[in-house]
Amino acid sequence: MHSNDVAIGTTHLTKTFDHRGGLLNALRKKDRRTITAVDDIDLEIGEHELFGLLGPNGAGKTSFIKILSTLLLPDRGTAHVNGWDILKNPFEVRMSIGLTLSSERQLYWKLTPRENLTYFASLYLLPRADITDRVEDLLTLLDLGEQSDDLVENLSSGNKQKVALARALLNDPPILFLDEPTIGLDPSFSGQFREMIKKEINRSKKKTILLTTHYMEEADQLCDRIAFINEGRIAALDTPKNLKRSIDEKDILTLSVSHTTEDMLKKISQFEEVSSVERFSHDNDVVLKIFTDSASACMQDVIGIITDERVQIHSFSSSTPTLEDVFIKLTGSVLE
Amino acid sequence: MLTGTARLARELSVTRSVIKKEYKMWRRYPSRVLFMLLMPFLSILTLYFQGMALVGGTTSEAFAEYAGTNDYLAFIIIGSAVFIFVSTAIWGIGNAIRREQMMGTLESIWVAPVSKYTIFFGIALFDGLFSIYIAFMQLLFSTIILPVNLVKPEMAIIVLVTALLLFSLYGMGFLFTGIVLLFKEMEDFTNLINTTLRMVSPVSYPLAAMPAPIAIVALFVPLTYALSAIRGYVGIIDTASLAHNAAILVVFDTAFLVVGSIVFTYAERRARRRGEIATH
Repeated sequence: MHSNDVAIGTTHLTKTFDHRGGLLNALRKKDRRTITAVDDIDLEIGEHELFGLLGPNGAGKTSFIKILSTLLLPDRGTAHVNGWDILKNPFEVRMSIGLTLSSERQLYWKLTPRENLTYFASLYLLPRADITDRVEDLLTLLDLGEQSDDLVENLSSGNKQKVALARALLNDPPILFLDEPTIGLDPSFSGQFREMIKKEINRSKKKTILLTTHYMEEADQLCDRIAFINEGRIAALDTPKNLKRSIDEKDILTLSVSHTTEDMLKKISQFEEVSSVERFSHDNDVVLKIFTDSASACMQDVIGIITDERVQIHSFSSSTPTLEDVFIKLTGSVLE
Repeated sequence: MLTGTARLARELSVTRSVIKKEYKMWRRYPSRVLFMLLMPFLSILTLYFQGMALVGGTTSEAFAEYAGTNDYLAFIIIGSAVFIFVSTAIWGIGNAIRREQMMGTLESIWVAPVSKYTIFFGIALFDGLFSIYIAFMQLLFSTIILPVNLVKPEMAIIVLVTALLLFSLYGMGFLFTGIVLLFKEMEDFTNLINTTLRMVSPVSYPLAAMPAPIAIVALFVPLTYALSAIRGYVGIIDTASLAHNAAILVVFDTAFLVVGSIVFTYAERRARRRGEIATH
């Protein structure tokens, strides 16, 4: 990537938080923990790229976006957004970006979408003469015409998110940060919303988009490239296709079981076709992900070992690797 | 990129948007509208009844020994009208920022390129209009229903002197906004400052009625000079010249604005460092 094609670049970006656990504990220097939210991240995102940060809750995705949008100061390292240094040129960075946060409460619920957008347009220093037309265009683009004069508190979650997206586009910024844009939306609306982000905003309007998500399908469906982030670090970075190819194994067996025993896991791992076994909790079950070259070759034996150990199998499936499987294999963590 | 006078012009037009937005939000809460309609009337009656109970009317010779005027009712109504500006200014900016924090909109504002001081200025102007309405209605009600005439041309001095006082108060507003960002708590602290300011300044009683240590503290409170200037100008008390009091207010304005801005800048940077802009 040529340096002048880079929309967002970070160098050794690091952010830690001290948790002191209350005033008394802070004085006693007790229960002090340091959490590294962003850990030495070097990253370049190209112009017009739709880039995804995929990771579980608490992985550092929101902290990363907040640093880039000047809401949070890094401890170390630097970042450039649209060519501007986030520390030296915060005004220029803010003029270059639009941001939606994952909270529904990022809008004024006692104002209408039109009133919200008109107010924020002025905060983005748009010329007063242009504001009415700009707001009208965005209400039309995001199909909010009928709800544009209802109070935000009466809108569905999906339409609230549309208003937030419209707000992020008010100043026609070259770069958009979308933090968990479809969280809390119903599945059918999420699909439409993703389509709109990709077609209308990224492809048609050529916006560079950095989105964070912990939904594997969202990253897979939308992003040109994805970075897996876990415990503040980038664990892998590539196109969705290449990330899925990065797993040598062709099949994944996924079993939801009542419990596991060390003996059982040892025996499953010893099969020639099995390269690794990952175990994690989900709801009240234990989920086993068995990475194998051939599910059909080892399936019967795996089930036999589990039933011999008197472990109940609640569900069982075989699939080709997904992004989530790649994430689990690389980090040992699950996305949820 | 937007620079120089073009940016300044846009920033100034934001203040109008802030006032419009604050007004729309305000009128969508009926209880706030009701409060605004009733508050001037009720507060004046309270002062009147208090006067009747304490001095048996609107004037008192005993009061004159301390205050230099026997016109008890006019003295405290002016104090009350001016204190409205103090109260709304202290509550105003910090409380508005706290409200944005609680509503979840603060980060959306913070990430916008507009200067935060422009937003504060807009909030301050809205609060100023609110205060002018309350103070004027108090004076009007007093004139209509009580035996005291406070709606006269020279009372316009309240607006001029209070305008001078406001810079100090908004310096305090910046300071309180910094405190909101630092401590995530506004109400108790504001109540404490509000009550303390009322106690140590000659709002409801003259300086001479205060114990000496508190009267000394009152000398460091800009409200003391604003009240002195207004009451002196309209002839209720003898005091130093208007220009003298105004000059002292300008000194306070400068000091409070500088200190308030320093505290706010420090608090904002600290909140951005600790990721606490939006945390409750």
